[in-house]
Amino acid sequence: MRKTLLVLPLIVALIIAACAMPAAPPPAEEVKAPEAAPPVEEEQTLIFAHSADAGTLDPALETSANSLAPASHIYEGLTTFEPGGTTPIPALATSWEVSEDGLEWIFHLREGVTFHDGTPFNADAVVFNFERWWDPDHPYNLGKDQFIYWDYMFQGFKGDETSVLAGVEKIDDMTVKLILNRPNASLLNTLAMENFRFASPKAIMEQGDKYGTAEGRAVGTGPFMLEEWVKEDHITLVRNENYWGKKPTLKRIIYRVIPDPSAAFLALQAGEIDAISLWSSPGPDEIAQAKADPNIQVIYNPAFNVGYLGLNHAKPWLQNINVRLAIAHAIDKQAIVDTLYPGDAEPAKEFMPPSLWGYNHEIEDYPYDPELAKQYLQKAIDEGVEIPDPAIFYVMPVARAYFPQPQQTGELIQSMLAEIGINTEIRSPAWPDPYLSDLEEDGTKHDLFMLGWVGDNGDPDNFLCVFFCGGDTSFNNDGQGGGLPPDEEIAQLLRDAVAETDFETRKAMYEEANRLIHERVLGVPIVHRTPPTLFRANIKGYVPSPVREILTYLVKE
Amino acid sequence: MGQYILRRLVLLIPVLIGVTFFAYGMLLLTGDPASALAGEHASPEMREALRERLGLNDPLPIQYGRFLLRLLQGDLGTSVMTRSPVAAELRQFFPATVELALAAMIIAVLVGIPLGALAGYKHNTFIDLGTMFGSLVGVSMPIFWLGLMLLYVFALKLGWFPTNGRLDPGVSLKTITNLYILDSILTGNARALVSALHHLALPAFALATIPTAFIARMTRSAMLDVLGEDYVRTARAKGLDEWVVIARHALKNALLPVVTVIGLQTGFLLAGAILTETIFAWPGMGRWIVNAIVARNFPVVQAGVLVFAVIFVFINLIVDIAYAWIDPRIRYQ
Repeated sequence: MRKTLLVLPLIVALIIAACAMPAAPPPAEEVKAPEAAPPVEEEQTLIFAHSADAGTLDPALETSANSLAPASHIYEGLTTFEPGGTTPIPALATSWEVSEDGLEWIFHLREGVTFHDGTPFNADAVVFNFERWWDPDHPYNLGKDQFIYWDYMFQGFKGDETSVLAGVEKIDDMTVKLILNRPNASLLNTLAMENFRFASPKAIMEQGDKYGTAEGRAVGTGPFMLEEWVKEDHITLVRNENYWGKKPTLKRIIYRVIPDPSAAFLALQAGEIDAISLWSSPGPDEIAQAKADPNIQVIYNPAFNVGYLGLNHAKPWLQNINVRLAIAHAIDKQAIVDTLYPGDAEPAKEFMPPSLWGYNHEIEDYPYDPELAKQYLQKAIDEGVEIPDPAIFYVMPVARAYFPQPQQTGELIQSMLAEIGINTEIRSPAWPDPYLSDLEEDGTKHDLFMLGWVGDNGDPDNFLCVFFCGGDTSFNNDGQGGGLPPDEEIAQLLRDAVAETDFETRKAMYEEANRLIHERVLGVPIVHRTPPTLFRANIKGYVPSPVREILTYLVKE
Repeated sequence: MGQYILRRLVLLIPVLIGVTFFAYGMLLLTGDPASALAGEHASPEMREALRERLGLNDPLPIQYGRFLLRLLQGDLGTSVMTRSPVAAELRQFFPATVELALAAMIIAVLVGIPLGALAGYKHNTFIDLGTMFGSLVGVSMPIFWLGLMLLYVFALKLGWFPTNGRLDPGVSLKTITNLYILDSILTGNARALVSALHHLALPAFALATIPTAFIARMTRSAMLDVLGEDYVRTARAKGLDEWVVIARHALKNALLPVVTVIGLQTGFLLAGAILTETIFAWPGMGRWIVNAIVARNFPVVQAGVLVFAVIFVFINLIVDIAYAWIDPRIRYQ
């Protein structure tokens, strides 16, 4: 017996030894959690739960919200999004001018701004950051595959023919010039994205590859500074006392990782956390509970996405406007929203969400009317259109922000189409490929498809041109795998709009494009999801945002 | 004995080569890591550049050889998602899991063995049936559900325990081993010790249910076997105190199969209790590895597989050694 009892401690000792061994050479680290908040007003701490940890806190490298959300409090760019919207407003640039041809942008920088490490923010810092992102030969560029959003938004790197950027120059200490290869009016929106916000050149040069990782530091100019990062557990940000702008009331923001939405909701109910991110908001039952709980507020954020039923214009039957009108009238969007979305979505009538500028508020959607739909379909058949039986309908196999229950949505659409006499066969190949490659690279296998889009920079170009400029072939193709816009007139309007630098003119162009897309039924937008952020009742001052949950100016009462 | 242990340790080498090679191949078979790593926004050129940088374009044996070479130099590589050294992450996540697993195993042993022994001794009584019913429930209860129920009752309704994490926000701790309980003792930090124990209680309890049930059932059936043996009757005939009969003569001999169960269960717990770690937001190995598998973060998966293999081989070795210790008739040549 005595010997037996020795076995367990032996295992224990061995394992502890195993844990302690690798820790022998590296020095002991200080895990310093924030001090307990004394009852002083400026010592407020907000604990914000999200479902997964950040990858790194170098936003130039990241695409996921879990990384970009803390980063958006640490870093600032030339522009930022107006609170609650997507209109770009001045941030570290106080003003800007654009040349007649739209190719040269001059930015005047904000005076008296310093990075968290005390180094000054100036034209050199701006040029350093742009060159780091853009120039693969820059000593601190991490390789062409690393700055994913740079490649995506600026369409290439230095030396690439496709690159939007042609150069970046310092004019004087507080003025920089961006030179473009072709006009791009969405630049101001793009520059507001977290990915293009400035890190301290000194910190990057000192840390190299470690910059932004949990072993390194993250140094920007924003209202909060990185204080501590315990991986998969929490990231603590502390107020930047030298911030140039309005000083936040919160002393600290803690991003806490709680992977399970139900557990996060229990923690919110127990008052251990102050808020749950829209990215990990719990299911319908818990939302209903939250609404009934006087200690919890449910705040819906404006939509920044669209889920749609796509029509492949390369198929002859879908080239007929009457067929497309029939489909538009056959879909009961309200029923889909009521059945499958727990109060957090609205029916869509355009291919971009209503919170964006350029949305056409005058359009009236095609009402759900199966009888009218049948008449349109009959008209098409009379014109000699052959309706395939069955039509191939691609329904995505995985949930997305805009389609949390894609299979059920697909089946509802299938039954609605069947009601007017269009039989469909649902296919759901694996996501992302071959589902996406079938749609976008092949383009011949499908008639109808479900897909959606979540915005990147809040510019209408980032919604409409993605679909209708011919970049991908899911809406149409040239028969050889190449993209071809379903409607050349609309595509040209969209290309002109992105080159137009006068804001009001540009806005009107997108409103017109939305009208034409609706009139010609290039596709059937189904839904915009408006995801909720959950807060304890004593948290005030949240401005619902389509882009990012900004916590800077929240107050605990 | 020494030679036997050495032989077992040498045997570890082919085992490790086998499992890591298998894991590497599996990961590549399940899809292109570059697509998963680069995300939906990446252009084909970007994916190609990523493949090139990570060496995914080379033939599998060359890739694997490179991995082994680095491993021999003590380099586990860099996590593709976080850009941190895998070894640094391992030093953080493994101790978190060890702390949780050991706490659960201690609960399981302290509860499971006495309960099982009692049930075996009081065969077919209310105690026996109750214990067996309880252990059946323990084995079959979904841990996900149990975890949420524990949180609901003990954290939300009663407010006795915190819902998530390893320490209260506001408690600071100087980490040495990343085993928070040990660290707080080593640094004499009473506040951190209380907080760490407080946070450990619910997840350890949830994680302990299945091993407790296994251990109780195994102890009970072994006790039943042993109680019918001649030497127990002899012991009683000698007029020994019943307590001594049970503890020294019966239970000691019944423990052999129980040790195997304890060893295997410890292995499973150390491999990361993904569900418990998810529910209680415990930053441990299970979540780390599963996230890595989903994201095709193969340097992390490789390291994880390696660690698991070492754990299981070592635990088996310890169990075998323990056999000889408990039962002197067993000798290894």
